[in-house]
Amino acid sequence: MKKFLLVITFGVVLMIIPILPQSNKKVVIKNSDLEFLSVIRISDIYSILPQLDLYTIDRYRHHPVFAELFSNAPKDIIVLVDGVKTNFGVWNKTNLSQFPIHPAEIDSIVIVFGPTLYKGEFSSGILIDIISTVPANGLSFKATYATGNEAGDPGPYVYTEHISNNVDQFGPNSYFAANYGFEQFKLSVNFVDQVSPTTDQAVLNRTNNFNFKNYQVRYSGFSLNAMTESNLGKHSLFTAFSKTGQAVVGYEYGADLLFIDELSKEIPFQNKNIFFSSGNIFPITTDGKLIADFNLNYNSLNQSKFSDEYQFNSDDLWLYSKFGYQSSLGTFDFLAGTSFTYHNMHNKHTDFNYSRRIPSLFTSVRANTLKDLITRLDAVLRFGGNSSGMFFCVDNELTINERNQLSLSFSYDNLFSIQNSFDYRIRKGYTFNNNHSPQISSGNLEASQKSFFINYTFNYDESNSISSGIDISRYENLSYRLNEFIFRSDNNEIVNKQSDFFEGINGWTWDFDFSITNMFGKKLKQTIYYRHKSALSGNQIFKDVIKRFPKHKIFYSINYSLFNDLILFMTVNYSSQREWIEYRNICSEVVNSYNSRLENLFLINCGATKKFWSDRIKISASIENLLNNRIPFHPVGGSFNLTFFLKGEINLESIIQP
Amino acid sequence: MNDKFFLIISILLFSSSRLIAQTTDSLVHLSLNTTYNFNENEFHNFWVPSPGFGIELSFDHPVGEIGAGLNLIRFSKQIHSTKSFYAVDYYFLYRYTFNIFSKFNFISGFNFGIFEFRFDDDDDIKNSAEKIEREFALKLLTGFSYDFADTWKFELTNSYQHIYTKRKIELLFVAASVKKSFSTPIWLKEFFQ
Repeated sequence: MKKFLLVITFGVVLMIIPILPQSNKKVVIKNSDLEFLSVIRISDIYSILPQLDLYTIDRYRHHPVFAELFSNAPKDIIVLVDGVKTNFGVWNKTNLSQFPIHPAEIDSIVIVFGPTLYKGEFSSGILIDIISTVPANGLSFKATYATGNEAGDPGPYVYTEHISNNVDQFGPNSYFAANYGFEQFKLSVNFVDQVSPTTDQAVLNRTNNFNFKNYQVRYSGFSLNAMTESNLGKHSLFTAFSKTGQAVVGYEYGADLLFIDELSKEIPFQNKNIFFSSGNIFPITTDGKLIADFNLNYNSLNQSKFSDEYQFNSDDLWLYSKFGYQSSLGTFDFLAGTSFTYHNMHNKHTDFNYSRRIPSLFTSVRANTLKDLITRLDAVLRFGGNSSGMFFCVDNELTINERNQLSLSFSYDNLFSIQNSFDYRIRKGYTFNNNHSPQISSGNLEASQKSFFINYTFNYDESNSISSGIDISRYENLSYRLNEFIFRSDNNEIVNKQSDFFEGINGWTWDFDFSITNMFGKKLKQTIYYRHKSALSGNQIFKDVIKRFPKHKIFYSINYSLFNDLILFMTVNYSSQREWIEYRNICSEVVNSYNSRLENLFLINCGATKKFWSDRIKISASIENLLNNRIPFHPVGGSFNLTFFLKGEINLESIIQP
Repeated sequence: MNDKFFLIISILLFSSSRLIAQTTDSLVHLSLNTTYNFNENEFHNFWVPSPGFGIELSFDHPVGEIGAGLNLIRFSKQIHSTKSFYAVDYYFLYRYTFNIFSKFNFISGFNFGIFEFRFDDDDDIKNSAEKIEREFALKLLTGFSYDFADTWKFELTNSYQHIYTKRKIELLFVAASVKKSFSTPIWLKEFFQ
């Protein structure tokens, strides 16, 4: 209660004295950008988001570098559909590749990073809001088939003394969508079937206890998306069923893999996931409306049927509701409300059954405090054991003149993602069925973060702009467990030799970014982006951990619509060296593919899309890692060579009119 | 090789807009070719090529000629312990042609696609997956063509192909082809756009 009063008081004071302008840590990827990118899986959007720091073991699952880095400050990915929270993900791992929607059914994707309040949803890490398309009137069909092949197979040398291991083949990935639109009603049905390889030698070398049946992950998902709008309001429903393991189409089995950072190994699993998200807006007055969102998510995980190393079951039930009131009076916008989360974790084979209830309050106020100054105030208060805390942010956006904008932001929070990691479960008493339970130590200190962000944008004209920002963050009371992973060649396993636990870690980081966007009409768009990130000061352990982020990142992208029916794209990514200190002794003479230090990454991707039959058919070919350099994204993850992707898409719009 | 490859692709991509105005009526082209791999390197210690055959279908686009093709070549084993195979090369193609004089034209372009190795089954392949290997391949090509009749051309090209296997395979080819051009029917023209 004391905290709540503090938030309100502080908020009122800041409303009166607008101190700091608006931050701009938001990227919107539009449908037209997705078209350029030739999306094979939704997670392909990460390749054009250099602002995000992610790691991957296999290019299929991506996870924020910061996610569980500090055990008391999780920063995960949360996914929304049309502004409604989905609780999509397995434990704290959100695999965007497996989101069950046809990429062509996406109108745009909003990505917000850093502590933020977005439509009443708090996110500490990365928030992804998938905005679905409004279908054309009548009945339409979309189908996509995509496959990829990584270079480096033995080819004919497989029958010579120069034999080498096979490398990855991606896909096939198939998507199908049927939608129906009529006036203010839309209905869309999606089906996704994916095959992802598990053939990388770096992974296979350390997972010898698991029978990689068919060396692939099989994933299938169905979803239904409906929306209606009337005088009574706007209502949306997104419901989905997905599974990994046994394929829905075909007979092949392919377990999914959960990489547990605390163990540095994959746990093979199969799961079933059902979720239901509904967003409702009821107009109350001409300027005010009531918002009511609901989400139910049931996720059942089991060990892979071909593995018995970790015998486990984990059934998670999430219930979520959000109620808010939104009002708009001239230049004053207001949103306030409350949300409630219920989470139950259960293991059918042991007596583990743990529930928690997490209520929260939020408010967001946006006003023109001066003629050219927009002030926004966000506050969240959450009550939920280890996941409780508060977030407070004030942004000011100053329009200096038509071309120049300055924004300043200050935020304070001791609120992070809702604890949901493997580590967290173990602390709550979760054990595997064979009582295998890793030793996990965790501190009780409450971490906090203060951030100051300044951003300047110069819009030369509609087609050319320059933007630059500085973000300075102060972290306090972080907890970090320093593992020492080594590779044991006698049983081909990575084991944790010892752990040291650090509490009360403090430190400062700073980011500097700079970007230029240039467009020549609608045909050519190019962007160049640079970012520096490093620790300014702090405990030695803090500085060592922050080395996991590249100090320098350079990104360049160019999209060129050569003609209406032919588009080309190219991206260039550079990241400087990164270091993971828990893998400092991972180097092995037996397996030379492990290294704590990831050398400079230089990645060029390019592709082309040719459209046929007035955009009804699209054929895309793209090449990732054009220079064929070996690219590792994690000390014990796979490394990737040149990969060739091919995609065919059919879009039959309004073939039956209502 | 990587740097050269990148440079060539970049030049082709970014110079394409300059080429736009040079193309005229829309045509569809069907080409039959015979090809021969003439270089010798480590790969040829294991396999010797036979002449190959191919077919290409392409159409005029303001940027040049775009299409797809297929080549079939037999590679016979040189040593007993390995396997002979048929190479099936499926690819997309891009060609740009400009007139040198009279009926002579200069051709340049590239192919990219999948190079498939279909091994002979000598009754020792247990798993059907072991019968086929596939790899990404890129081919850079240059040559000349001669218009010997109204809608017929004879083409002579040489090409360099890089197959991105673990031990890279580099092949040089010479190819001769006969190409027939057809006016694009309206429905097909609409389909291509």
